[in-house]
Amino acid sequence: MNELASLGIILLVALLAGHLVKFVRLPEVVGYIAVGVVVGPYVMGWISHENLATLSVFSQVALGLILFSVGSIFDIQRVQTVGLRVLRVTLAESFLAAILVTTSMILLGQSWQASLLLGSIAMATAPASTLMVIRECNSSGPLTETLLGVIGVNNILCLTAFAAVAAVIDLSANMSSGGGEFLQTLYRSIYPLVWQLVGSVALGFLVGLLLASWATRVTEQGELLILITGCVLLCVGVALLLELSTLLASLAVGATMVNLSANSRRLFHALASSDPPFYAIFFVMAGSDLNLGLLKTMGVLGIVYVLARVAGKFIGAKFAAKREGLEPVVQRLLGFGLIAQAGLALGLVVTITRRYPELAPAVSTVVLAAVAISELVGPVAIRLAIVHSGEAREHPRKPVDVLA
Amino acid sequence: MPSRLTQREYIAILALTSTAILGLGVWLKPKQLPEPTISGEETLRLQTLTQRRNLENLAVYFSEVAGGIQPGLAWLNELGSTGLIWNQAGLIVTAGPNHPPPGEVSALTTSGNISLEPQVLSESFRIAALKPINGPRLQPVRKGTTAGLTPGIWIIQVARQAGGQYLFTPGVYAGTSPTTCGSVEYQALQSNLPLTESALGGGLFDVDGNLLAVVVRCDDRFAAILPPDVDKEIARATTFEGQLVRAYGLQVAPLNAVSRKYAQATEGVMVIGVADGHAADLDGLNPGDVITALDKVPVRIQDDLRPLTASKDRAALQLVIQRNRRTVRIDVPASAPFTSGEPHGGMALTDASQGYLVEAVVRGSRAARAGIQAGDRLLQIDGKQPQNVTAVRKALSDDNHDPIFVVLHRGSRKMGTFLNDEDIPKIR
Repeated sequence: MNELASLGIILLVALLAGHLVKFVRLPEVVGYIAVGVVVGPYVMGWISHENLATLSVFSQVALGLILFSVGSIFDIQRVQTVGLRVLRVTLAESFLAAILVTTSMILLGQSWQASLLLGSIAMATAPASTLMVIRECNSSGPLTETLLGVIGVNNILCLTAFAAVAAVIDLSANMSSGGGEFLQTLYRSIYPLVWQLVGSVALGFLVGLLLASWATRVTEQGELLILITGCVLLCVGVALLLELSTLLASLAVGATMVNLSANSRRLFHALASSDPPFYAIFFVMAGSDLNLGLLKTMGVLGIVYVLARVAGKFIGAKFAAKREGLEPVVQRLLGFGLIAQAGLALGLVVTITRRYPELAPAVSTVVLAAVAISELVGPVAIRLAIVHSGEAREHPRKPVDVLA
Repeated sequence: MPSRLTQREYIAILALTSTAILGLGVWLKPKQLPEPTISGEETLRLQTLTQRRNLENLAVYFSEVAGGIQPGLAWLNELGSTGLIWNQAGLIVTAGPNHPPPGEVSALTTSGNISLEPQVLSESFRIAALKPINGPRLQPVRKGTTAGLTPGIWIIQVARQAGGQYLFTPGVYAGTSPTTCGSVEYQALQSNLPLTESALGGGLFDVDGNLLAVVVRCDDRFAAILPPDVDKEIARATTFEGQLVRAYGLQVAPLNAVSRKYAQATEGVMVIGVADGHAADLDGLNPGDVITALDKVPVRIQDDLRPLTASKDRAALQLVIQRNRRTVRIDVPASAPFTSGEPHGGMALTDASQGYLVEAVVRGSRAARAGIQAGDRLLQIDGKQPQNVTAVRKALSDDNHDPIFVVLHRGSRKMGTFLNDEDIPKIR
C-alpha cells in the first residue's frame, strides 16, 4: 500500500477507534494506539514498516506541535509561584523511579551500565498521551497544572540523566582500556549532554522569538496556523540537523512564545482547534510501531522494570507532593498521571543500539515491552486520575456542533 | 508590543547569546575519530586471514552438504565400490563390475548392514542394480537435473569407502556432452573433478544434494553418466536380451541373408558379443558362431535360448553351433551364473594386446556404419586372425564391397559384426 493510502487509513481508523472507545469510557488515545497495533505491520499489515518509515516525518511534526503546546505551561508567573515545588516533586518521582529500576536490575544480574541506562530511561513520561487526555477531558485545576509541569520537566531530567550515564560509561570504558586520552573521552562524553540541553534551549528560544515577533502582525487564524506550523517544522528540522533534542527545542519554543507574546493564548487556541489530525497520525503510528509480541519475551526483567518504575513514580510523587504542601488531590492522584511512557524512551533505545550495541539487546527487550504496556495502560490511568480529581469538564458547544 | 517586550535590549542579548551558543556548539562539536591507520603488511595479513576463513567456511559448507547426501550411499563389500540407493524400494545402483557379482552382496549403509542380490546387470556392464533381501528401510538419493545448471557453478562428488566413511570433493560443473561407453551412447557430465577408482559407483551432486551423475567405468576410463541414462540402461537390461548378457555373457542377433550365407546355416541365431570371463566365454562361444540348437531343440529366435538364463538350478545343457562351416557341440555346465561362486576374477581370457588397434574411424565409412570405434582391437576377419596390417586395411577398405565378418575386442567384450550389411545390428 502506498503512503497516501496508509495516511488515509490511519486517519479514518483513528476516527472510528475514537468513537468506539468512548462507549467503554477509555481515552481516545488508547483507541488510536490499539487500532494502530491492529492495522500495523505486526498484525494486519495494512501499514508496513516502509510506510511507517516514510510517514515518520508526520510523527516528528506531531511531536513538535505537542511539545510546543506543553511548553505553554512554562509561563514565568506560574513558574515563579509553583515552579520550585513542581521541580522538587519531579526530582523526587524521577530519581526514585530511576533508583528503584537501577537497583532492581543490578539485583537481577544486569551489568551496571545496562542498569543505569534503564534507570535513566525510567524517568521519562509520555507528554503526548498526557496532553491528549488532558485536552480530551478539557481539564483544568491543580492536578492538571502540576501534571503538565512534571511531564515537562521530567523529560528534561531524563535527557540529562541519560547523557550523564552515557558519559560515565564512556569514561569507564576509556579507563578500562588503558586510560589514554582521558580528557578527549571526557569531552566527547560531556559534549552531547551540554549541547543537547543548552543548544536545544537556545534554538527553541530563537524560533520562539521569531514566532512571538511575527505573531503580533498576524490576525487571521489561518495565517496563525501557517506561522506556528512553519516555526515548529523549522525548529524540528534544524534540531535534527544539529543533532539537538527536538523534544526540548519544541518545548522551548512554546515556553518562549507564552512568555514573549500577548497573543499566545489566541495562538495556542488556534493550534488546539486544528492539530487533532496530527495527533491521530502520531498515536496510530505509535501503535503500529508497537510489537505486542515482545510482551512474551519481556520476562522477569521487564515485569520488574515496569513495577519498579511505577512504584518510584507513585511513591516519589505522593511523598514529595505532601512535603511541598500541594493540594490533597495532587498528592493522591499525581502518580497515576506519570505511568505513560513512549516516544522519548524509544528514541533513547535507538541511541543505545547505535552507541552501545553490546548493551542494546538487554535494554531494548525490556524497554520496548514496557512501553507496549505503558502506552496502553498509561492514558487510562491519566484519565482515571483527572476524572476522579473532578477537574474534567464538558467541552463547550461550538458553532459547528450547533450546526450539526 | 506587550509590556514584557518593552525590554528589547534584554531580549536582544538573549537572542545574541542563543545564536552564539549555537555557533559555538557547532564549532566545538568533537570531530569524528579518525580511522586507525593499518600498515600494508597488516592489510595483506588481514586479507589472507579473511580469504582463509572464507575457504574454511566453504569446506564446512561442502562437508555439511556431503553429510546430508551420505545416507543415500552404501559401501558394497564384495564389489569394492560405492552404491547409490536408487529408489524407495531400496534398489542400489553401482558401477557395473568387470565380472558378474557373486550370489549375494553385503552392503554397509548408515542404517546398518544389508544383504543384496543382483537384480539387473546392464548389457554393457556399465551399471549393476542390486535388490535388498533384508535390512532396514533405506533413504534414496534425491535425483536432480543438469537442465538449470550453468557452467562454472559448484558441484560435489561423494563416494563411500570400505570403512563406511565417505569422501567428498568439491568441483566445478562444465556442462554435459555425449560420450560412448562400449557400445552405448550416454550423456556424460563434464567437470574438473578427477574420476578415479575410489569414486566408482559414487555420485556427482549439486550443492542442494541432488544427484546429477553416477561414476561408472567406461572402457578404459571413467565417466559420470546422468541418472536418466542409468534408468534407461536398467530398463534395457531387464529385457531378455539384457538378461542373456547378464546371466550368460552372450549377445545374439537373428540370421539374415548375409549371415546365413556366411555361416552356411539355414536357421539359428548369430553370436555377436561375448563378455570376457563370463559363462559364454568360458564355454568357448565366439562372435560369428551361429547357435542352431539348444539341448536338441532347434534355435530360431533369441527367445529359444531362455533355458540358459531360466533357473539357478538348471541341468547341464548342450549347444549346437555352426562355426567356420563346421558343426560344433558345446557343453554348458549345470551351474547358475550367479551361484558359481567365483566371479572368474583374474582370468584374462582375452589378451588386450592381441589384435590390431583401431586408432581412428573415418566418419561415414563402412567401418563407422558397422559401429567400429577408435580403441577397438580387431581380432578376426572372416573367422581368421589377420596376418598383417595390409590385410586388415584391405579388408576394412571402403573399396571392398564384399560382406566381411569382423571380431573385435572392446572393453571387456568380444563383439562381431558384418561390414557392408545394414541388416545386422550395429555393434553396441
